[in-house]
Parts: sequence; C-alpha cells; structure tokens
Amino acid sequence: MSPARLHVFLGVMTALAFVGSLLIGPAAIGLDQTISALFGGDVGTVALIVKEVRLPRAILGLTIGATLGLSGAVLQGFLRNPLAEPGLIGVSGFASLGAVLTFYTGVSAAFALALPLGGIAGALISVMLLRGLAGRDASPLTLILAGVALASFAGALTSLALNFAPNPFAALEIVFWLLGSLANRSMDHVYLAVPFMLTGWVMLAFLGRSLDALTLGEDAARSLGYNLGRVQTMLIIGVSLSVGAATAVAGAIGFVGLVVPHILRPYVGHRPSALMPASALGGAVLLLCADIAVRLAAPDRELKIGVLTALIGAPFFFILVWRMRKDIS
Amino acid sequence: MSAPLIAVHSLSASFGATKVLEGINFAVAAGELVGLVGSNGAGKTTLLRMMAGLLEATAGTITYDSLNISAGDNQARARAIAYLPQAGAIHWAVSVETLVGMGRLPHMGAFGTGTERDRQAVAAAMAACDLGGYEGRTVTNLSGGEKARVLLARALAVEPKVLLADEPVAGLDPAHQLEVMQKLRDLAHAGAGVVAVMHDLTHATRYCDRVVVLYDRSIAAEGVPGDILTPDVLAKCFGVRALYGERDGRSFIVPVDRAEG
Repeated sequence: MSPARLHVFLGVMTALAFVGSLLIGPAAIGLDQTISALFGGDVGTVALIVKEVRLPRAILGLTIGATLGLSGAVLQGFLRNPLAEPGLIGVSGFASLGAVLTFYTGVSAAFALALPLGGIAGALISVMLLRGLAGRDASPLTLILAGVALASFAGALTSLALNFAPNPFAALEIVFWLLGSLANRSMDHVYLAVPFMLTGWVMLAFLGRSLDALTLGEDAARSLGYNLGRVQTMLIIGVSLSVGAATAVAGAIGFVGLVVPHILRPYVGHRPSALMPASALGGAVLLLCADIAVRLAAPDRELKIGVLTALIGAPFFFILVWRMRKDIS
Repeated sequence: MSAPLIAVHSLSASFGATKVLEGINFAVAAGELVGLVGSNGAGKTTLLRMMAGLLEATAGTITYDSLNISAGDNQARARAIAYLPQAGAIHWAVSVETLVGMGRLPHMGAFGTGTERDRQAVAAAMAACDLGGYEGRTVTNLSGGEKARVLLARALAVEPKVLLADEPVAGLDPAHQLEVMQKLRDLAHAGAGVVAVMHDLTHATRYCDRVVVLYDRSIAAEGVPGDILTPDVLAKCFGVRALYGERDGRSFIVPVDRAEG
C-alpha cells in the first residue's frame, strides 16, 4: 500500500469509526434518527442523547486519539527512539497530577471546568520543569532522562494525593479518573480541550521536515538548516498543549502514542514526516474503536478505555523489547 | 586563485578547559580539493564542524564572503555548504532514494514535496555515487561501504558550493575509495570548494590540490601535497616513516615504520 492510499484508507476508517461511535450505545438510535437529531431541530430525548452524550464522546475520541497518535509519531521521530510516547516526557503524568489536585482540593466539585484547566496547567508546568532540568539545547537522551524523572515525580505526587485523600470516595474518584475514560463528557469539555489540541497540532505539523532531517543525526540535520533548539521548543509546546488538554478531559490513556506509529511506520516507508498524518488518523481510529469496544464489552459496568488501551499496549511493548533484544544479540 | 568561499581567521576552539585548536588561519576557494590530515585528535573534525557552522569558535572568526550568506540564515547556509559527518548515522529504515532526497530539504519549504529539479539533483547524485538501481533499497540493509556512498550522495544532492566531508572514504573498498576521491576532485574542478578529512596520504598526494596538516592544535604545514608531505613532516606530525614512490606519473606514500621518538 502506498502512503497516499494508506492515508485515504485511514481517512475512510476514521469517518466510519466516528459514525460508529455516534450510532452505538445503550439506547438504540438508528442512522436516520441520528442524522435528524444532529442536523434537524429535534429537542426530544433522542436528540439530547445524540447531541449531548454521543457527539462530544465521538469528537473527543477522534481528537484525543489523533493527538496521542500524532504526538507519539513526533516524539519518536525527534528522539529517534521507537519506544517514545507522550507519557515518557512526563506531560501526561503532570497533566494527570494537575487534574487530581483539583479533585483533591475539592475545587472540581465547586467549579466543573477546574478539572480540565488543572490538567492543562499541569502539562505546562511539566514543560517548564523539563526545560529547566534538561536545558535549552538538551540532547534527546538528556530529554528522555529528565522526562522519566519528571514522570516518576508526578506519579509519586499523585500517590501522595491518594494517600492523603480526605475520604475513600475521593480516593476512588481519583483512581477511576486516572484510568482514563471518554464517558460522560459534555460539549463543554470539547470546547475547552479541542482548541488547545488544534493549536498543538498546527505547531507539530511544521516539524515534519526537520524530523526527516534528524534521520541523519543531529549534526547533519543542523547542516541542512534546522535550528534544533527551536524544533525542540515547538515540539515541547505543541505536545504539551495537545496532550495536556487531552489528558485533562479524558484522563491518562496510554500506549496509543506508542502502538499506532509503530504499526504504521513500515507503510509510509519509515519516513518521519509521512508518519505524522498517518499516525494522527490511526490514533483516531484506534481510540474511537476502543471506545466503541468498551461500550459493547461491558455496557453496565463501564470498562475504562485507559484500561483497555493498556491491556492492548503493554503486551505490544513486551514484543517490541523482545524484538530489539534479538536485533542487538 | 579566486576569492575564498570560506575563510577562517585566527580561530581557536576549546571544550571546557581543553584547547583543541589555536590560531588557525585557513581558507578554501572555489575549484580546489583540500585534504585535511593529521593524527587522531588533532582537531580536524572540530575545524570542519566550525566551518559548517555547527560549533562556535572560542576566538577568531569565520567569513563566508563569496557565499552571500547573511548571518542567521540557516537555510541559505544549508544550500551553500554541505556537511558529511564522519560515520554518519541513519536512524530509520528509509529507502535509499528517500535518504538521498534529504539533501534537497534546504531547497524546500516546511511542506514542500520536491520539484522536477529536486528529482534531477537526486538522480544525478545517485549516479555519481554508483547507486543506480539502489533507489528502493532499504538503507539499514546496506553494507557499510554502500551506506557511506548513500550518505555521500545525500551530501552531493544538496548541490553545494562547498562540501565539507569528514573521512568520506572510511570503510570503502579500494575501488570505491578511488571512485569517491575522483568524485570529490571532479566536484571541485567543476567549481565547488571541497574540504575532506582523510588519513590516506597517497590519496592526499594524488587527488588533493592542497593539503593542510594539523598538529598540536595548529596548522603545521600547508601547500601542494608533493611539497609538504616530507619525511620530516610525517615524522613530526604523524610519528611515522614512509616509503615514497612514483610510477607512471602516480605518486604514493606508504607509512612503514613508527618514527623514533
């Protein structure tokens, strides 16, 4: 399959998964009812379910999946490491921590939008700490080390919040939120998160060529005219805006940014710039399908989507490590 | 000789407290192949990276007068000066054609896909490096020598006015060493300025218009290879004694012993 045909295929799959996400749920609502609910002036229960429950969920599945796939592709290209993903540089961890703190302090109960805002603030703080720790012209290795250190620190602080949770219910709420979910999100979440994600995407889109050049190593990339300090700044801000917003509204959804670029890379001839749009589409397809799967698998108990992606992703990670080990020996 | 493309004035460099280069004056002009020789750690790569704009000098300046590069215009510099790193890495399993095509990145915008002109430059660079039929091959499956040729083709695809090559023939078989040296010479004689770091003194003698010997942080000798690669210079700068010879108009220098301390 050529890269162009792959993009068409993934585009069609994304559209189908999006429609599927609108159609599938506990209430049986047909395609014609969904269309008239979306575009007609209906105000009944059906219209309410489609517009206020399923539409935001589908939009968030699409945009968060695309965010995770795109930022995974960009990070892997920049760090030249197929194991990199947004969680690695601590952005997801701090976004989670920011959101958890709004639970912990009770601010989110008083003011609903504090939750997503806390997540975005956490992501931005992680970026500042990362820049402070690793320095402006950090090598990919320094950046990974600083990111891993930050991610562990965020994890420790999150555990501390759990440890001192005011009551078992608050702790449970935090744990459930950390598992990651697209359920019960409203159009408010869409309005708050999507503009940040789009801004991040635009910043990342400009990096494709510099990631191609980095295939040749840093010196060669710089000799081809790329200012790697600026590339890194754009990358960190782009990733934290998009992933910070995504994590803030949906919790920590891992492994999408790892698995999707890895599967699609051979189909785009391993070229980092070509992998970016493919991974964005692939991430959207994967998350939309995973979200449909959790609705079908356990309609009454709500299987968390972050649990499902981890169940798929972790064994995938094992296989990756196993293969790398064989390559080395 | 025409005006220098790159001129280095009283250049010094240090890494931390270690001085690597001191008071270097050096220029490369259009139409010449300059061989940069010296023992390991003499500062050859450092000098080359500084000329490529990859490393800041501790003291001294580098001017690019006849290249018309305004300060800070990275893309203009990248179009004029190609840099071929020593034992260059290739991080992803792209095709040979894609990799060579990366030499055209300075000629494109952030979303450019390449014009007919870019495709011609890539095809010419591949032909020059004996890579006909390699277009679709995966770079990570190539032998070391094949990779070296692909990376050289990538640098040639830039169509630079100056090529700075760090050990371009390392790892190549004898036939391809001769071919690459001849290619560098052709490139220079077609009007580019070429500086190549090398260790083979016979190559330096046979192909280079000029040789610069780095020793003890500065330039120990500079000039036409036949004049300066003398037994004294070899003993002092490389610590070796060599056999000198000539046959059918081709000179050679073969190191045979370590020189007595």
